[in-house]
Amino acid sequence: MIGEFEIQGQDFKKAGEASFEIKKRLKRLGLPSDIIRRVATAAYEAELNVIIYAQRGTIRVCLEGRCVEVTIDDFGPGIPDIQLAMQEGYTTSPPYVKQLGYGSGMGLPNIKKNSDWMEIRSEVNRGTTLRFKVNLNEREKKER
Amino acid sequence: MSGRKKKDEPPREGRGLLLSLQKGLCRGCTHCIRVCPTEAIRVRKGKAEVIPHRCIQCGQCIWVCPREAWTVQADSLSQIKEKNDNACAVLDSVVFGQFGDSTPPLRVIQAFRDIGFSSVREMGESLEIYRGAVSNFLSSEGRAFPAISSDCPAVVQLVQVKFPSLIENLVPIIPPYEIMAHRLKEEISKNSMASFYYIVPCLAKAHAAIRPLSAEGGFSGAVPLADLYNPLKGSLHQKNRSSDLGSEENSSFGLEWAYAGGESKALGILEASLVVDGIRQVVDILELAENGLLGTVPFIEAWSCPGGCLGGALNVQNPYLAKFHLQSGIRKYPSSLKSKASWGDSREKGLYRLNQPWRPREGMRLDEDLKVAMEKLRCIDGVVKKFPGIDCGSCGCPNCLALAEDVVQGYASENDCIYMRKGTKGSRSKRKERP
Repeated sequence: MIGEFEIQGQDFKKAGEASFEIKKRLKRLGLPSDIIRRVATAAYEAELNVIIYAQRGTIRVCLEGRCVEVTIDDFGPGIPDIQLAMQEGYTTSPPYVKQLGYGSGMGLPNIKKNSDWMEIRSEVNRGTTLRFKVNLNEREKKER
Repeated sequence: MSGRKKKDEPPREGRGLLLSLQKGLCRGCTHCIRVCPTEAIRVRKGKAEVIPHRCIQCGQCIWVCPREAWTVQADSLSQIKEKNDNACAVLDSVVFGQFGDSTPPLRVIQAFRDIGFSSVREMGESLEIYRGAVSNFLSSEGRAFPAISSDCPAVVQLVQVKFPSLIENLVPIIPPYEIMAHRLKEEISKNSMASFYYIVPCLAKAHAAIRPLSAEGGFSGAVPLADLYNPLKGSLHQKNRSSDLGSEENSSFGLEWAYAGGESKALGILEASLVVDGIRQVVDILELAENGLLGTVPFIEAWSCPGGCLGGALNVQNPYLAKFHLQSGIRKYPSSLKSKASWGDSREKGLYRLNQPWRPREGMRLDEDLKVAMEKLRCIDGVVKKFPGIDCGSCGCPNCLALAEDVVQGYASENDCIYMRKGTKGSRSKRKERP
C-alpha cells in the first residue's frame, strides 16, 4: 500500500491534492518518471470525477507485483451507461462545473489512455468503483 | 526506534560543490533550511550542512543567511593575476546593469582591463548563436510541450532532482556560456595561450562554468561579480572622463537577456511564452507542468533568481534598479551584434544540440530497492505522526516530514524533536493572558 486519501465531493478548492500527494510518494519510491506521470494524470482525472459527481470517495494506491494499482471508491449517482461515459467529449456535468473549467468529458478516456488496464463497476444511485493499473515495466506495455 | 544510533551520513561536503560554509559565522539559525527548494540543508551540531546530491546551486541559502556565512569557492583576482598574465574576462550581460545608467558598456569593459584582465569578451556574442539554435529547435516537429528553457543551470538541476519527468521538456541546446567557452577555446588554440574567466552573477553559473556539460565547454575559472565590484568601481571613478565611447560596438541584444523575459523577447515569442522567475514560483509552475495543467503553453522561460540573472546572489546592485540601468543602456547604446556573424550560421541543423540528454538525479529517492523504499515510506508515515507537525525547524530539518525521513534513514533520532524529549510533550508553561 502506497497511500490512501479521502476525497470530498464538490470540494473544488482541493482538486488535485490527493493526486499531488500520490505523485510525491511515487517519486519517493524512485519509480520511473514516465510511470509516475501516467499514474498521477489518471489519478487526477479520477479524483476530479469524485469531486464533480459524488458525495465522497476514497482513492487508494497500491503496489501489486509489477504494477501500480489505483482504486477509487465513491458514494454517488453511479454511471448508467459506462460505454457512453467512455466516449471522448461525453459528459453529464452541470453548467457550473463547466464554468469552473472541468467536466469536458475527457476524464475516463484520459484514464484509459494513461493506464494499462482499467475496470469500472457502477451501481446507479449507489456509487462507482474504478480500478486502473499501470505496469512498472515500460516494455510490457510496448510489447502489447 | 528513538534510541537508535545515528549513522554517519554519506559525505556531505561534496567535492563537487562550490558552496561552502564559514562555520564560525553560522549560528544554526535554520533560515536556510526553510528556503531550500530541494530540502538539501540540515542543521547538525548547530551548523548548517549541505546534502550535495540534492543541492541544485540555486543560491537561496546565500540570499537568506543573516550572517552571510555561505561563500562560493571561486577564483580571486590576485590568484588569477598570479597564475597567468593573459587572462580574458567573459562578461555576463548582468555586469552592465551594476554601475548606473550613465556608464557606457565600453567603459565597463575598459574597467575590467584596468583591474588586470588582458582582454574582455561579452556573453552576448554567443547568445545570437544560442538564440538561433533554440529558435530552430522550437519550430522542430515532435518536440515536447511545453519546452522548458535550459539557460538557467539551477532550473536544469531542479528538473533533474525534483521533476525528472520533465527532463525531456528541457530545450536540448548547449547553454550560451558553454557555447562561448567552446568558441573561445577554438580561437585561442589558433592564437596564443590564454585562460578565460567567467564573471558570474550566481552560484549556479559559477558551477556550470567549471563543470560543463560538454568537454569543450569549460572555463578556466569563475569569478563572482561581487568580488570585483570595488576595484571596478574605483577604476570607473578614476576614468570618469566624458569621451564618447557609446557609438562603438556592444550588444543590447545580450543586455536584454539579463532579466526575465529577455530570452523570450530575443526569440520573438514573448507573447507566447510563460516567463517565471524566483525558485518558489518556478517550482509551482513545474509542478503544474508535471501534472499536465499548463494547457497550451508552448515555452517556459524559467529563472531561479527573482527578476532573472540580475537577481543572482553574487551581484551587487538591486535587480530592479539594475534592470532600469540596462534598459536605459539599451536605449542609449543600440545593438550592433551583426558583426559576430563570422561565427557561423547557427541555424544550421543540429549545431549545438546536446549530444547526451540530461539524466535524472536520484535526490529524492528513499532507496534503490523498491521493496525497501516501500517499507521506509510506511515507517515514515508512522514516525511523522509522533511529531507535532508545526515544522518549527528546531531539530535542524526543514519540516516534521523531513525529520521523520531522516529518522527512518538513520540520519537523525526522534529525540532531535524538542517536543519528543522527556517531559516537554504537551506541557505548556503558565502564561498570563494578554488583556
